[in-house]
Amino acid sequence: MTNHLSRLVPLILVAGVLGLVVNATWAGTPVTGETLLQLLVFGLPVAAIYAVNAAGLVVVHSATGIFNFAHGAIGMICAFIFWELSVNRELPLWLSLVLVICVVAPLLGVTLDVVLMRRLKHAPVMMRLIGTVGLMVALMGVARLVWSPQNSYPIQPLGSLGGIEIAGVVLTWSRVITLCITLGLAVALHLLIRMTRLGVAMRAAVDNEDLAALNGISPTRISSLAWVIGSVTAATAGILIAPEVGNMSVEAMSLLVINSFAAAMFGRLRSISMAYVGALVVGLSLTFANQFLTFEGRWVGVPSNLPLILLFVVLLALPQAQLPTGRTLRSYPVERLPSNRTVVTWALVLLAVGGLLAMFASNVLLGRLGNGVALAVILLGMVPLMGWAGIPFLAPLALAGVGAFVALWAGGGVPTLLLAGAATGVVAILVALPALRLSGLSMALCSVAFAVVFGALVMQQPEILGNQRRISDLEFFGVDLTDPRHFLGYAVLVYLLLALVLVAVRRGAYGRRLVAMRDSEVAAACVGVRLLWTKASVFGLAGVVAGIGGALLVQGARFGAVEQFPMVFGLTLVLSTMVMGIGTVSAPMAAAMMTVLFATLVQDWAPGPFTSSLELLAPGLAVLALIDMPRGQIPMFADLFRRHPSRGAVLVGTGVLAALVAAWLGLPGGVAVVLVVLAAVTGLILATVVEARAERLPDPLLRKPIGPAQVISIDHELRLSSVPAALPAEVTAR
Amino acid sequence: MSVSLLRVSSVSVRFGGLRALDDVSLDIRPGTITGLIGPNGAGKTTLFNVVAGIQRPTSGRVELAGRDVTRHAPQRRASLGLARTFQRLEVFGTLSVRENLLVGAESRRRWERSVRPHAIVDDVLTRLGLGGVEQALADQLPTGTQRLVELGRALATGPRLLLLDEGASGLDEHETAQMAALLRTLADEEGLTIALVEHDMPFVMGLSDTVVMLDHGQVVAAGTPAEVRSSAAVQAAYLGSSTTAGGA
Repeated sequence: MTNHLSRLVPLILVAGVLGLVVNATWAGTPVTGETLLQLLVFGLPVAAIYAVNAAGLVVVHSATGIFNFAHGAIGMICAFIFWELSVNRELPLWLSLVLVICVVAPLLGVTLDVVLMRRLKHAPVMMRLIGTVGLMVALMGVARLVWSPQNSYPIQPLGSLGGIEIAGVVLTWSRVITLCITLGLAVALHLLIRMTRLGVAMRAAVDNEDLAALNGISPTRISSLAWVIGSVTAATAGILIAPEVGNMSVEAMSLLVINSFAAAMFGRLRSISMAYVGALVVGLSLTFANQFLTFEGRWVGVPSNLPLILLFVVLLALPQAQLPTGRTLRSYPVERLPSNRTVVTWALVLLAVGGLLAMFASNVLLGRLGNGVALAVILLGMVPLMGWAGIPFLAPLALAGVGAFVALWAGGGVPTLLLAGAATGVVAILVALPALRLSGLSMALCSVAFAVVFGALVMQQPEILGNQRRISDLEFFGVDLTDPRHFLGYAVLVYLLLALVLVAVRRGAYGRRLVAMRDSEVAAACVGVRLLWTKASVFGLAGVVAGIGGALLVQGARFGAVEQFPMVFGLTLVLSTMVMGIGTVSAPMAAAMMTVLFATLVQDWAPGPFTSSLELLAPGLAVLALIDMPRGQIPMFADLFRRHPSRGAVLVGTGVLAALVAAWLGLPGGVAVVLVVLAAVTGLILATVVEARAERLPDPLLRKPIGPAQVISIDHELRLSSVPAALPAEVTAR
Repeated sequence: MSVSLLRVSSVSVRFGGLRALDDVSLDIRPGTITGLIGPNGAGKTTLFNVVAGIQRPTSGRVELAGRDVTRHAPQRRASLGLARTFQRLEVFGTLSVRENLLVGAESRRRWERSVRPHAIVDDVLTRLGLGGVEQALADQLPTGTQRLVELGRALATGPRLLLLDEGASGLDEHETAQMAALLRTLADEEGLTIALVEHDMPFVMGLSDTVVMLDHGQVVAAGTPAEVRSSAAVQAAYLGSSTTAGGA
């Protein structure tokens, strides 16, 4: 009953709001047979492109269990290759099309599968979710490297000008071609999945890969086929949608796929035909909005965000899944709690480095560092939410934006941090409430949709952050915080304070409950943990911290604007934090400092396409590397560090050496301090790696459970002629 | 005549066309040990899931200590004194053994203000002989020990009714005997009511006061171990007469 109610209430609300919006924005176009026909003429080609993308998403997800956030980015790369061939190299259009769709895309699919996806399939849940986000960001980095954002990349529509006239409007030849290609692809896909042996095998593998393997169906072939289908659909949709976009940009092309997410979720990522229905709904409602409604002024962003609003609605309407039992979901280890000594030591180190930098660094670098520490505070909010409770939330900057707004609204002074934190906490809980019953992927998708919609429709408003707001002066007990030195110290203090609070929280009963809930929701519920309350409160906690971070960010910049909180940047920040180890409170600082380093590289030291693409490429690729070390860099090195006999000596030694070199080269003070810290850390890492090699540590990361299929393959490798009659109890129990 | 602690009345669960439970009724009196037996797929775990609140029954009623809890969430049933272990292990793998038990003991504070979680955990750790591994991560322990951790976590919530889903599988002969002794003590001396699903027949028959046999989602026999052992349905299911062999 309550379950039905909780699903119905948001739906009724949304329907009501939609009704009001449609009523208020009605453009006055009469609804006649002719205008409705026009709706179809314009809407169907768009819907067809969404349908192709959605089908690809469904096939890949149902065959491999991976939701491909990078689907759009694959399409983007293929569209750029199409541009390269057809415009830059002046090949005939049809040849370029065939080359990209029949050669490049399948190759890309197989490569992705072999290099990455097969391993990702067995990675912990959070990795499976974030892995393809990493791939998306990395592909965007590659594209930026090859096709500089400074140039323009127009794609000509396929087919000549003119077309067929229907109901007073022209269905252009390019749209006719679009309809033909997408229809052909849909038929081919249907035949492949329903009629061929491989297609049937693909459906069998969804249910039980090991069983399918025992029956002689190769899971690797199935997975490759799925990724080929995924890439081909992405490429087709990318190339077909490019002329509609006009001038292609890396980001817009990669994110367009989000429109298809709603369509794919219509079929709950299982049914291709329902996904087609979804695509029709999305495509037609977009066209409907463009044709019959007018959105002006502040609401100009509504039509383009309609698919995301639909995605929201679809996700919220998903039925409550039963609590999963049997541990099919595998999580990654959470860090052991740091000792008091460790916490105090590193807090002092951080203060000391901050102090040194404040003494020696230039104002530009100090400004960037202050900004970086504010980002670190925002990311700190993700530690309890993602790291401990295991809830994938990819919109940290949306929460930060709330904090920024509240702080600016209240004047921007130091005490407004608390107000910003409290308000953001409340907003986070309110936003999370309807989504709390969602798990894993749905939550991740919901957060992406939230980030985009919230950014475009709420933060964009002139009263919120659409118009730049300034903070004139900032002081605390007589200390002038507009001085970047003072601000850095202040920001570091805020970070430390919050980190200490979080460590205390993790050590207490509440922190244990969060981890328990992540490890097994069903067991947590059965010992009396209130799941909804625990999830809502951890959103609140994340909101408080991220809100304070957002307020800090605008205090440091002394202005606030919507541009400070872009969605993709938020994604890369989350990825970087995961690379560092999102279960630790030090990871946000390390991740933020990486972005400071990249910013310095791009803006001061080596401006150019390489470094600017590195900003995306590095976190993206690093996340992919995480598959092999899901705990992240910091915990891994911390483990090795603990075992290193002469860690103190190495740290101090490399640091002193670097200081001498810096003095000898006459480097400016700030750079020298950064260099010393980097050198000391690098020296330590190298030393621990050398030590670890010498110790020949056994691989502690046997993450893949051994199933019957693996036993057979091991037997095969060992050339044991037959499978033992009875598998050991330990193996079969899995 | 004492009142039932758990009363399951005419519970049915349907998954599509499959009847996992078909009009199952069951009464469990306080302080007793009830053994649930039956072939694989007979509906034993589904029944536990219904009692624990993880699976909503299609029809029927579940009462705990006289209160209708059919629509209660698992966490609310836990606060009424229900605890369980799982057939497929559900330990909090990345927490230490002590922390696993603490989570149980700490949520108990919600309905029993005066408890001191660490004292409870110390007590349970000693009882189950887990003192030596209390700092180990639960994931890294052998299956048998993980089962004990689950039992410990359940006991730490201070339950009145404990559901053990194959709690003794993965234990060796000696450990099984210890487990039986422990359960007997808990039932006799502390009045804990226990329902257990187990495939080890001597274990169930030796330990239980009442045995209930399920097959194809229906109760086919119930009574004392001796009565059930001699019933025709049990003979048919376990010795393989024509119709019921195999189960669903």
